[in-house]
Order: sequence, then C-alpha cells, then structure tokens
Amino acid sequence: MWRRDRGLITKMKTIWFCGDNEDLLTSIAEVVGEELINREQYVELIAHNEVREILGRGLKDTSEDKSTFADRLGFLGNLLHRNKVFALVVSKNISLKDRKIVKETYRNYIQVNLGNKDELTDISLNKMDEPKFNAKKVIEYLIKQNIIPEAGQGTDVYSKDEEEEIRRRLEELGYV
Amino acid sequence: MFGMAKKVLIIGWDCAPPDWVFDKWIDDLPTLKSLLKKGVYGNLTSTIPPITVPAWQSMLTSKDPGQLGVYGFRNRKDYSYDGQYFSNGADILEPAVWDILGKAGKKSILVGVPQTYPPREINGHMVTCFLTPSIKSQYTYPNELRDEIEKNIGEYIPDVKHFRTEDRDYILKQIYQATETRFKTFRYLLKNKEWDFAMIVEMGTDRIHHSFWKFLDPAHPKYEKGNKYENVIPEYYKYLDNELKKTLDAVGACCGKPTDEDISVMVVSDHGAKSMLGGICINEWLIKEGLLTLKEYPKTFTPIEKLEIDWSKTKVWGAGGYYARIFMNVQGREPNGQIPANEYKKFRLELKQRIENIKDETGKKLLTVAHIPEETYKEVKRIPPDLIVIFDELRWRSVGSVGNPNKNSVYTYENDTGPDDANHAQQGMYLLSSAKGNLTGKRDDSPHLMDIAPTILDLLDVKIPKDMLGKSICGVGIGV
Repeated sequence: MWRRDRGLITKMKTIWFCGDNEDLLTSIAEVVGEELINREQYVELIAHNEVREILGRGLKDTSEDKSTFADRLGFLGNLLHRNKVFALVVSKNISLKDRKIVKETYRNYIQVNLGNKDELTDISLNKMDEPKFNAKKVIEYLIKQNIIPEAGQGTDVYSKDEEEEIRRRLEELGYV
Repeated sequence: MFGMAKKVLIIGWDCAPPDWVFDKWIDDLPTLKSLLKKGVYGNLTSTIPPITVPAWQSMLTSKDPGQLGVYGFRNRKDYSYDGQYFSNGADILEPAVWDILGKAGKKSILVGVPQTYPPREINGHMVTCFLTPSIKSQYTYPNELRDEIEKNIGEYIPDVKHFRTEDRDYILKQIYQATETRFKTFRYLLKNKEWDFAMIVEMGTDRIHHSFWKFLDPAHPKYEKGNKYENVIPEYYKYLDNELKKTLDAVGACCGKPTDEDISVMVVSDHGAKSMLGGICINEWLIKEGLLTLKEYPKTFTPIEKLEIDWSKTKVWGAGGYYARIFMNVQGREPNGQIPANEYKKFRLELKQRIENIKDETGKKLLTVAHIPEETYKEVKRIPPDLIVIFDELRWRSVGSVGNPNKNSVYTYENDTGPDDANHAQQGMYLLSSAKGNLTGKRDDSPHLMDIAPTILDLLDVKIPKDMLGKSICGVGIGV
C-alpha cells in the first residue's frame, strides 16, 4: 500500500532545513514548529541526535549509506505528511544529489537554506537574523503557497446562538 | 535589563481616564495614591482604534492591531458583503506576555483579560473575559477551575447581563455584583494558586462610563447639575480603590512577606473616556455623497445590515460604533465591485480627504482622522477596513443606521444602538509602583500601551523579544 501511495501530493510537507550551523537551524525549525502548532497543525521535528541515531542504525559513513539515510528521512517525512503532519528535518550533511532523489521520490518537499543556496532552495534565510524572524519568513512562505491558512481560527469559535448573544451585548453597549 | 521583582501584579480598569483618575479623584483614592507615591504614572497612549478589542491584546503582546490582524470587535473574514465575525481569543497568534513567561517557567493568573475566550493552555490559571457566551461555556483553564470557582465563590459573572434598560439602578447593581465576584475570584486564585504574574481586568469601569457619563461630566450636552446620579462614577472608583486595597492585602498575606518587598504593582487602562456629543450617520453621508445606494430607503432608523444595498451602484459603505469602519466595493475583490482595482489607492485617498472635511451642524470642521491601515500599522494581516475613521477625536461616534428621524440628517444626538453617554478617549492610564527602585511619584505621559508587556518581562528578568514594538518603562531612565 505504501509503495502505491509514495509521493502522493498532500498539503502537509517535509520542510528541510539545510546549512552549516545545526544549532541555529534547529532553533529556527523549533520556532516554525511552534508557530504551526499555534495554527493548530500537527508537527514532528526530526532533528535531534537520538532520532538520527535510530534512523541511521546499521549505516556507515559511505556514500551509499548516506543516500540510504537520506531516503529513510524522506520516507519518514512522507509517512508523516500523508497522515497530516508537517515534518521538519534539520539536515547538515545530506548532499544535493541525495536531496534531489528524495524530492523526486516523495515530493511535498520544501527546502529552507540558512546561508548558501542551491538549486533546490525554496526559502533563503540570513544567518544574521534572529531565529524568530527567520521562522516568520518560513511561515509567510507557507501562507503564500496556500499550504496553511492566513486567517486565525476565530471565525469558527461561536455557534450561531452564541454569536447572536455576543452581538446583542455589544449592540447594547454601543460597540457595533 | 534587570530584575526588579519576584512578582508582578496588574489591575486593569477598562476605559479608566487619566484626566479624571489622576487629576480629579486621586485624593479620594487612598490606595492608588499611596502606590503613586512609590511609582511612576501618567497617560498611556492607546491603539488605533482605541477600543477594548484589540487594545488589551496589543498591550499584552506589544504588537499593533495590524500585526494581530484584529481591527475591532467585528472583523471581515472574507471580502463578501456580509462576511463578518466577532473577534475572539483564537485570533491572537502572537505570543502574549503569559506565553513568554510560561516558557521561562513562570506561572500566571489571568482573570477577565479581554479577548481570552476561548481559553488556551497557559502555565497557570485563567478565567476568560466578557466575550464568553455564558458560564455554561468552558470559561476557565484548566477546565476543572470552573467547578472550583462555583464551589468556593459562587456563580461567576463575565459581564453585565442586561445593559439596555432605562433602569439605571438595575445596571448599577449588576455592575457592582459583577465587580465583586470578579475580584473575589481573583483573590481566591492569588491565595490558592502559584503565580509570578497575575492580572485582572475589570470591565465595570467601561460599563459605568457608557451608562452614567452624562450625569457626571458638565461637558456632556445632556448634563444637568445636581442630578441624582452625579456621584455614581466617582463612588464606583472609590469602591475599586477599596478592592485594590483588599487585593494588595491578600497578596501580602499569601506571600508571607511585606507586599512592598517583592511585588511590583501596575494599574492600567486600555483607553480613556470622554463625553460623546453625538453621532455621524456615516451611511447617510455616503448616500448624500452618491457613494452608497439602497434599493429602498427605510421609513424608520434601520441598521445598515438589515437593508438591501444596490451593490451595482455602491462604491463605499460603513459600519457604526465608537469609530467608523469604511469599506470599499472593489472590482476583483468584492463580489460586485465598482471601483476599478487600479484606482483603489487614489479613490481611497480622496475619500479620506472628503471624510476628514465633514463639518458639524454649525459648519465647524471636525478634527477627524481617517487612518489608512498600511500607513498606520507595522504590517497588515487578515482583512482590515479600508479606512478606520475617528470622528473629532472621538467626540462623535459613528452611526451605521439609515433613516435618521431628524430629516435624514447626517447628525444624530440619539444613538441607534447602545447608550449615548461616553465615547472612548485616546489616552488611557498607567501606574507602575515598586518600592525596590527609587520611583518617587513622577508623571510621565510618554508611554504607549505596547510598552506594558516589555515592562512586565523586564520586571521579572525575562528577556524581551526583539520584535515587541514597545519598550520597558523601567528602562527609559526614570529612576528605576
């Protein structure tokens, strides 16, 4: 089943955070994750050593194993966003070649670069900017691409009766 | 940045006017006066528009209304003609001061802070605001706090229930009941829950101003000297001063140390109050200007929402309230837009000038400002009105209804909805009191309400996010 569904286009994406400074990338990814959670999205951050150790288990530091590791990351991301979860992957040493294969295989791929760009870069961030500012740029991109909505959730809070009650009160007070 | 206090306590008095509280009543408010002597105080500039929603959230996120994407109680959810909704807590996506404190491991107590319904998870305890539909709704965080309040305090009262009545004594009774319950709830939480930051916002001040201002203020056209209700508002402020004293005593008692040592206290308001002279019937004006066409002119004074607008002949329509929201009917944006998109900016600028030239009935020009959102805010999120109009520095409100009994005049001295006593004022108030620093009762009218959140963080020695628009009142060299 999963082979037939591999690469199915979904609204959720794997967002790859690429660059040299892993700590800074992780900080940005964490803020992006929080922003997405605030907007009632589900998120998984694939960044910390323990996750990589498990995904990299049995692999060596060879070119072929590095490709396998990238594929495992892509596969995990694909599983997550097929289940309506954003996957945020912090990747320092994944080659352009391997990322291209992941993008073609699993699709739903967004790449954020901190510093040097490459041909897969969708969002370019400045190392000198605060993580929060950089995270905002990522969120704005997702809104512009219609991946997440801009509007807050306030439109669906009140039932019709409740809205009528609020309207009555605010009218009596002269606010509307 | 420095830490001044282990705890910060904020008492919010919605709509409290500094020119009355500090300049006229202070000698009758002994608790406030004693805080003032160990503090710094003054005017606190409010948001555009100066209205409870979004002013309180602007204060507590240090972001302007455009950044919040909230331009008043009612906001457009889309560009349809009737796509409006009542803004609420779910619209606030920027971190408020309690979110930031929570991440720093500090606990908060919030009672009645506007735009906190529906409740969200915080590190602490929350009782939501007057925008709660009823106490049958989930109005606390955590959920079980609702039962605890019911058991220990009794029935919580989010707001005055029946405001539109000529029975002023009944309104007054409701205001006092709601205030008493709210402060009892606040003190209960202060005594029984852990906290580093605690805040209550009392709406009774706003309610009493809107209902009783004409009995107080000689500047009001309907004021009569020696009337029965002349002292209602000053008496209520004395009552609030006593509630403040009881709250400070409770805080001192629960901490086991003298209040002075560890706790910074602030008293703030989101905007002020002033006499309302009358209303500008904005849609009547637009009809006269040929910018709005109705399918049928009403025989009685009727809210615009209940009238059929001929959109094929309409370029602009407006909404009433304490300020006016102006909407333009734009091609490619609204369903039956009449203003070409490439003429939008030019048309809006000309409309702004025309609105700002509206005179009163004697021909005197009003000091009206029509704000363009993109020029007013750091950024503009969601869908703002095309213009936000404040008539004559808030001396006049906006009236959306059409069919003015006064011969279809643009001016009215009877409100179409709500009371006709007080409008808001651009200046709210603040007082920051702390015995630790060397604050000595100096007045400083420069702060903006977006300075409050950075001040709270500064006092608690928590890093102030760089994207907050305000700055700490502590850090502007006023002797702290």
